[in-house]
Amino acid sequence: MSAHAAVADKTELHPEKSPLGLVRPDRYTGWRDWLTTVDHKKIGVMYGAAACLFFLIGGIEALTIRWQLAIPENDAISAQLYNQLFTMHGTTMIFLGVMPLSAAFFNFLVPLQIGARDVAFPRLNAFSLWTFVAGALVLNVSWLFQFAHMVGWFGQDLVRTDIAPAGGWFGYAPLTSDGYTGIGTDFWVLGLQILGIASLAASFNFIVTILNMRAPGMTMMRLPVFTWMTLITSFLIIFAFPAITIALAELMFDRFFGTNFFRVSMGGQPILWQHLFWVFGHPEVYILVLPAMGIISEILPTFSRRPLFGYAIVVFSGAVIGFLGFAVWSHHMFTTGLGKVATAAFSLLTMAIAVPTGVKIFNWIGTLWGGRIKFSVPMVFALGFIWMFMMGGFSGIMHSSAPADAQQQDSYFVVAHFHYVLLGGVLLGLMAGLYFWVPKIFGKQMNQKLGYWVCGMVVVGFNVAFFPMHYLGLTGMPRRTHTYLAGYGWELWNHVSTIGAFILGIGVAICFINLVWTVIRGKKVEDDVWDGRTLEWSLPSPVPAYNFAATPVISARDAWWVHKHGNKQITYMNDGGPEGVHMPSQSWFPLMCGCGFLVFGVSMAMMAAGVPHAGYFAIGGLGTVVLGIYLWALEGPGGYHLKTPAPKPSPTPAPAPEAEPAGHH
Amino acid sequence: MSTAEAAHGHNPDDPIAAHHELTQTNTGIENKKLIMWLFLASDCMFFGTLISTHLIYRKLYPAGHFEEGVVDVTGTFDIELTSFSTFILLMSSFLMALAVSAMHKGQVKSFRNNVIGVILFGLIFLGGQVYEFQHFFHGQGWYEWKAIPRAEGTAAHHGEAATHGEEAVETAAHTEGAGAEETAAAMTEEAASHEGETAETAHETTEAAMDNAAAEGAEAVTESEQAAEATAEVAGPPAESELLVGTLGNGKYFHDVADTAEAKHAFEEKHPNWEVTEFKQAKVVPGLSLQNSLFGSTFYVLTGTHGTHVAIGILWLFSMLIYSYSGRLRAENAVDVEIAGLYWHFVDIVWIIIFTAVYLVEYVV
Repeated sequence: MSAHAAVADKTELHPEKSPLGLVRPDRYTGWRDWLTTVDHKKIGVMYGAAACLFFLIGGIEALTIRWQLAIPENDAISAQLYNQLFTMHGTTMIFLGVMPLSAAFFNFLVPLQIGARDVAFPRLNAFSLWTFVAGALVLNVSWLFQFAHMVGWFGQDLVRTDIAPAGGWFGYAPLTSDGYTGIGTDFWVLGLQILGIASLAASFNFIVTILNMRAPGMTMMRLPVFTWMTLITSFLIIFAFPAITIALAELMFDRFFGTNFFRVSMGGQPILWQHLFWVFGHPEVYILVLPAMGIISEILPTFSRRPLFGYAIVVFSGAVIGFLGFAVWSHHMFTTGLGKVATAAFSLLTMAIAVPTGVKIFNWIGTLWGGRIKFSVPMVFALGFIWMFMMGGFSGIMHSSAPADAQQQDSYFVVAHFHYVLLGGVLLGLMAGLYFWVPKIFGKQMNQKLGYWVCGMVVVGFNVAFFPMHYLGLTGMPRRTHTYLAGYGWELWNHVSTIGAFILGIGVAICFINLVWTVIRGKKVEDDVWDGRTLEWSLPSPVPAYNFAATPVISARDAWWVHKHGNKQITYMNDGGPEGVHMPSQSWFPLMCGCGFLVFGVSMAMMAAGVPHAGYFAIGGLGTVVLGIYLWALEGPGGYHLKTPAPKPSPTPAPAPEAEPAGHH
Repeated sequence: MSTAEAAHGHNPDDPIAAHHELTQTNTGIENKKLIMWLFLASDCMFFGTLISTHLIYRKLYPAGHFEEGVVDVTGTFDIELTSFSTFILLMSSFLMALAVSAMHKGQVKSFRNNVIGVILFGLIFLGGQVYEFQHFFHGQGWYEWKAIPRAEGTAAHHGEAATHGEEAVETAAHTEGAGAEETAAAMTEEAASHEGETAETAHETTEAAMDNAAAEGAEAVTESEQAAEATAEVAGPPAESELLVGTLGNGKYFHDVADTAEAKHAFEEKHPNWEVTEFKQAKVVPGLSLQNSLFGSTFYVLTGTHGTHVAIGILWLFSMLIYSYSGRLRAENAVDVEIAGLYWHFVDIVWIIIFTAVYLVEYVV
């Protein structure tokens, strides 16, 4: 990303000091720049890189599962490893794959789309990134311990050998109690709690950014739909995550301090876990899918060359989905015996949530209707999203009927349903976004021809893998089964499903390889490669550090499109002083907090495993976090100025503010 | 995070801040304040989940546990103490509001005074909680005891003692009338000092003991003086040896641990010259721990989470107090104080909900 240097210059050259004798690095310090950056674009790129890595890990886990199920009575892997694989596959894909890839887009795009120079709290943004990395590592370190045990490093003395989490991604009590699972659950509990902190901090930041930092004229009803969906998703996160954080804290107390929240022998109620988990878990589904819907709502108008049909309705239905998302959680628990009234109520509400979803789909179709459609790669993915997501939605409506759900519960039908939503829906949406915005992020274009192949392999592979699961589920194949007997009629479709999964896996792998190749060797493209509609396309690619040399003044929805093709121009108010644009300084302390969380999480699991003195390390880890926060507060935001080139499009001269040297806070 | 973030805060050199000050941010609410409101909204859900957990289990197990007799909720609670600390926490919010107002006017000195008050009140609240937890954990018990004086130099009084012993009143024989009152009070003061509930019992016992001692006082004078001298050498300090003069005793003993063996041991330690013949519990409030019941689990984790919030608030305000001496906390930074104030008021409001939903409703029959 050294390209930034070409357009930006640091005017204040002496390095800034910060506590502990550290120097605040600037953007020309190589790897130290990346560790300390507060630039939302770089943070977004790092989120994306981490997400791709964990997509690969989660994908390998998925393929191993499919490998095991390819033929009946297979013993390629043990039942215990199988449990660990499906647990970690679910956890990894949801918390370490989809959420951070969405966060990557939030980070990169939101300030650009609203005409801001960064998020409201740049260092808090870096804190979210490093805390996320810490949580992801805590979860996955368990695999390293598991493998070390498998090759015999720990000898034969271990009391419990299930070191990677094995309680399922929704960790139902009492499977997660200390009687049934080993330290894997501790890794899982601590990893998810740390990830929760990261998600909450990021969401607070985005809400403040979107509500407070919009450029002049960028009213709420002129916001790009992706930014709207970011806002709604962030609200979902801040209201849904506390439920699981507390549930995890209660579970942690059960495991570490002997409380009885979910301890059946002392009267604890496993059903309470289910409620607390799904109060989070169902909004989580919308946390995953709304960003993808936002991406689709940007791509379809761009390649139909028409404005989004029914903008206000699309935004409003997104909000309704978010709102109703909190009122349907018990449909995950129809078979637990909720009682007739509760079952009927949740059944009705679940059917109701199909309405705003359907509204969105009709609006997307309305956008396509009569458009001059260009079948570019992102567009093909987006169309795939609509189709596949709709199929997931249909099987979802089948689940909303409680009697039908009683038949489908815990069968492969459910697996088929949520993979249509999360893979056919969310993954296709995110890949559409990847092909769409990579030119803006890196200034380079991914291979388009390969892109069509990737899309084809993903859609075909995905359907071959998951459509047969509907049939398998309806004929009674239970989910999470380690193996199955021959003779139930499941052999053929399991085999087909495995072949499909590998086609899908190869497709995604090609995409990621192409992405890495593009970043290193890709061909440069022009700034506005798709003839885009929103503000980010008005900027050079890659985007300079300060985003906007002068703050844009907005006078229409789809401002950049209207600026190019319509009658309302974007004007610019030159608010940078003669010394340039003020930039926040970089900081070591978000990284320090992340390291503290990592030490804390791993040490807690080690303490549960009985490693001597691990408790002191856990306290040390938390102490590091607290110290990091203090030093971060004391160091202040700092700042320096970057010289900007003269604004290109129609600059409006404005009186420059009084020039004063950049100072510390 | 007293001076946290806000790259675009109040720095007059900052063109973006200048721009946003012109436009007052889009919502007119400062970034720091808005993020604090969002955090508090989220924190509502944290406490909501904990309170729900507590109330669900409370409804499911009216006895506090699936078995009767493990938990005695109202017996455990000390509602006077908790009411007092609730009041203190409320008053701390008042001082917090004064501190914020002072900071807005740039009156750093007044800010400091008020914040010191908030910190002190917060510490009193926390102290109350620590004291409360300590006592809840140990439980408490009232024990009926019977005892006879131990060993040498006291055998002579046995005959005399029989008359009083049968009447089952405490015999705390003494050398002097005044001394008798003191000792009788000493025997029962533990009971009086602890629980409002037990005050009556304690009072009765004390009166009985004093009557008895007064009646007997005159006779006992000469003999007990000798006895006291005789045993003082053997049994240690004279104050303890005074007890030896009595012949047969019984009464109620309060101990702040709900464990008969431990209470008996404590009683014997206190009165080494008495031989306990009978020691049984009259009423006991069992100790409440994280592990022994669901009520214990939900109660401690909920109130403990709140206590942690208070502790973080105290640490935050204390940091700000120290920071104010650097001279860098000025009226322009009033928002930093204000968000700490928001947090403090929120923690206070949550406590009112906890106090109502966890403590007070237990007294509604």
